[in-house]
Amino acid sequence: MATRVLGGGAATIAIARVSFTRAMRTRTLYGAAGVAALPIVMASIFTALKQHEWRSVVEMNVFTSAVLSALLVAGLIGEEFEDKTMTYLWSRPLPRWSVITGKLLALVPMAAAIAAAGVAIALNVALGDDKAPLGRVAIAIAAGTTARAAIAAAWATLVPKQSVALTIAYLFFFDFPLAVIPARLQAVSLAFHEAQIAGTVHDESVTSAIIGLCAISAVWLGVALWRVRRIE
Amino acid sequence: MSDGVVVRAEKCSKWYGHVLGISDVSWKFGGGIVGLLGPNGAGKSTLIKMMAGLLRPSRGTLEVFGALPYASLETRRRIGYAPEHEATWDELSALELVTTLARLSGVPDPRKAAEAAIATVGMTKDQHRRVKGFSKGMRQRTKLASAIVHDPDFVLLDEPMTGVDPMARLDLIEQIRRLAAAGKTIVVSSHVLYEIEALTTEILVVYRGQVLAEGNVYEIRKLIDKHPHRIRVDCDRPRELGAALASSEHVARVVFERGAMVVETRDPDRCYDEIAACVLDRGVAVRSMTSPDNNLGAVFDYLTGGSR
Repeated sequence: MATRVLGGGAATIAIARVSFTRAMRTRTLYGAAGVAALPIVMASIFTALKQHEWRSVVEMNVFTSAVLSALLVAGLIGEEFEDKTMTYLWSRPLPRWSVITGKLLALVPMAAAIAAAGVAIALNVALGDDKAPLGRVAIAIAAGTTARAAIAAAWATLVPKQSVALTIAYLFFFDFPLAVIPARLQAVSLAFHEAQIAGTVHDESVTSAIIGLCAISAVWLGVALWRVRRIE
Repeated sequence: MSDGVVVRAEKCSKWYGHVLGISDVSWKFGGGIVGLLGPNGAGKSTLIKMMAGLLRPSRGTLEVFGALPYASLETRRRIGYAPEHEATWDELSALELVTTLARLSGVPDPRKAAEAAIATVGMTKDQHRRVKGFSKGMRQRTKLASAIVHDPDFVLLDEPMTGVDPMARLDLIEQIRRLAAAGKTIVVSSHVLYEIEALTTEILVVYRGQVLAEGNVYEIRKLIDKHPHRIRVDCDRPRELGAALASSEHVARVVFERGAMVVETRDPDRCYDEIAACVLDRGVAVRSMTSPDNNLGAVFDYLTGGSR
């Protein structure tokens, strides 16, 4: 049989395909969807109290998106290391980086779509707020979730067993507090840039915020790719 | 591979931090089936993972088809590996799993190749079932299908018969033999001597990360047979049975344990006959008759001079 070594792109797509199928069949996906629905509940409560605090709903969504990224990305990648099923991939003739890019290609759109749908339903249906910049918020949440996925992937390669807890701890105890501290360190906070894009605060331009998100994601993705090359 | 050598290890060592995996292993292997024999924790899996390109040697070199498997994707394309652990992608069906691994190995028609590999291991009837519900034997067969789906030249099977029932074991042995007959080079690891004996005569005995012996399994057997062979009989009247056997010229020593008698002999075949005759003559109720020497411990005890 004439086989060939797959290029990085083809390997990424093949891994994304199987990762997507597996993720769709796990309970983790439903757990993540449940977490993403919490802002909808919050928005419903605001509506019942006749309060139209769309910013609070968006902030709540940022928190739930952090948990969602940890569960879907850190959870599913870390589990594969823990269960040793990653050896099926390592033993195939694939560039190692394609394992991470393939998994992210499958999981990031899933996480971003769930998070964006959560905020869209919360603002538009539950809150009924037609003044909230829905499109902008949804894009910000999707972008933030994507960036958080890079952090989750890095933790999954560094400490597979505790990757979900460490991702959540990092985001809640480092990233989110930094976003509200008025200092230059805000630049390394995903939540800070996400808030700029969503329009909940106005401290910098949207372009700067997008560049900030991309830079932070690139650093964490770099950590994940470096680690996956060395892991045995 | 101009000299026909598939695997060549030169002073190869692997540490996991301060823990030794294998130490200073030099070995070469040309083809057919070789059995990697050793107790749990001996370093068999480490050696197999190094051959599969999953681990890098800490010191020395290990080449497969003349290249470093860890660094060469082209070499890994020619290797099929079935890991020791049971975990697989349980959410997938056997066909989906094997098809995916065929696709990742660059097989042109992965679905067709997967169906053929699954048929080879006799799993066609269950190929659409999710792996989650599989028995150990079915999992082992699915792993074997995954290892051979891309038609590799070199197949590495790490403890493929662990947890498999006797019928499935026979079936697996037959399948592995067929692969070898088809020209594949195969390395099979086990900690059970008779599993390896059923597959091949060529063995590599690994213990505490080192190669203790290499060559024909019968040579190893002869070494064992130079030493008294033990037969343990669990029965209702061990002392009576022992007294009857004590005078036999084939019995070197009789030792009594709780509810059992252990006979040491240099001629196991005749001794088995005499035990059977004594049991029948005296109507002794035998619960079990086993040979403690049939496990690998006896080999290691002998090869290490009983120092372990």
